[in-house]
Amino acid sequence: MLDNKYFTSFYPVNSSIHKLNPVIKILCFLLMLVPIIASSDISLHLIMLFAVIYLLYSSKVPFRFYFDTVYSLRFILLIVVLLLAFKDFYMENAACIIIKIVLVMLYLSMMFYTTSPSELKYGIEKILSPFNLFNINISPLINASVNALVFFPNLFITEKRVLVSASSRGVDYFHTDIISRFYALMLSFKNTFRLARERNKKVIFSASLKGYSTHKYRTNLRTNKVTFNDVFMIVLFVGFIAFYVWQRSIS
Amino acid sequence: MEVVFDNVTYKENSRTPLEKTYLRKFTVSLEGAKVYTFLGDSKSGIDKLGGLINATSSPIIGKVRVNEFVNNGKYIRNVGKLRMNASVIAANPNDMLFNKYVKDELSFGLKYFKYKVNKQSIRVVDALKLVGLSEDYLKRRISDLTISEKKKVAIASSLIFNPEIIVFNEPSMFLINKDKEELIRLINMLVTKYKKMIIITTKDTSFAYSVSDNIYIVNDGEILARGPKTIIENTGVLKVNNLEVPDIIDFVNVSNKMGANLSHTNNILDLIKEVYRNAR
Repeated sequence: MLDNKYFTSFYPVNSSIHKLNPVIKILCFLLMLVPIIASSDISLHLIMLFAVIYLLYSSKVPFRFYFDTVYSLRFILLIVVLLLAFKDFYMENAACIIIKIVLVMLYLSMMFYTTSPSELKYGIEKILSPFNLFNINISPLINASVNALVFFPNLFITEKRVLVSASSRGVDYFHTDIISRFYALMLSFKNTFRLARERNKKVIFSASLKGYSTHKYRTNLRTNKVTFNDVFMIVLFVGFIAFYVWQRSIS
Repeated sequence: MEVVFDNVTYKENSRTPLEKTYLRKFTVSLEGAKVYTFLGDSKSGIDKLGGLINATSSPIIGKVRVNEFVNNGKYIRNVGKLRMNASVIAANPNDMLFNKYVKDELSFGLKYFKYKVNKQSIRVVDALKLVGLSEDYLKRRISDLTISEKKKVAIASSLIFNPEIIVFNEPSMFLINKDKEELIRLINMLVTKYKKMIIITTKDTSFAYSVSDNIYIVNDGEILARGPKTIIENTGVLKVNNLEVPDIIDFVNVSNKMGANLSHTNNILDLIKEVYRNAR
């Protein structure tokens, strides 16, 4: 199950965050974007960061998975800091921008780790359901988008299997130097990509066999109901927006 | 040739909520050209033995020694030689086959182990014949094969570079009875004629009884019983470990309770002869 550590893959444990309704999670992300885009007050961003870290802790997904996600952004963050220094931004503004990027990545990671692909599709469908009033069928687009997201964990899982098989037959990846590892990756990449695409097609096909049609409303048997925790989340993120509005009114 | 597991503990997903221990203080020593079978259900951890033998995974505690190579989590020099001499065949051939065509799959090991590359075309055809497939399969795509054909190609792609030690994970899975009998004949030939060490991990007790010299019964990562294959004639040991009693043993035990004086046999033909002798 260590394969579930990749960004956009689902990590199945029993936590309060896993039990949240997917619509509420997506709605809270959209609410969180409002102060992230509009505000440049570092105190608000720090409060939001601590709130999100508490949510990460409650998700029972190992912290090092989230750390790996943020660590992979280190070069982007470095470039942002250098660009801001070049433009004579203050340290506080630079820190604020970095916290914005980290907040978005952490919340998205948490959402993907704690929401299964079918629940995610359900959540996005519900959020975008007003488009159905204009006779636009959004289900195929959402299905394609979520399937595209699920492709990347599939790719990494398939890559690992291919590397183990290739290592067993002469192209070692595990007990060798970085150049040989790079060679092993390059050699297996074409087959890995082909197999991941085939696997993705089978996943989509088996989903359609279970009634996940993109042409009409799907039956979602395991969607988490809205509970007190969901209401608390909404109130929390609305609270951030209210804090931002209050700050603006007094300034 | 020798394979030694020295107090091996193997875990996956360490330091996460999904941590699981597959092998606990696993100690066993295998020597010589014989068929060693590890019997256990899906929770026993026996499916991880192959990865530890060919060093694609490492023990958390303890070490695995294969001839002169030691797998204890540290860097292994010249690991290609270890993997050329200890080949592992996965239970599900889809986990092992990754090339587009059968010919590419078979010649992959020869090419990268640099083993008899000048005789590649001959060896590829011979490997297919060994598992009962014709030369026509060379041009076929892996994705077009049935699961039992894929299993045979997986076996052929491991035997082609002539390893000393061959690990079969669930060898009878996806095979029909006729293919199982051919596989038993192949395994017997590999041991008697080519002096290979065969290690089988399975929960198919009938297959294990037909082909094994020594049997180890594993439950929850520990070896609970070991000995020659006659240990599974004691059906109590099998039932306690959630394993099925082979039909051939069940028949003899039930018949002997009713007064027949039958001795245990390996296969159905010998059993028929035994029944015929007793009936006279």
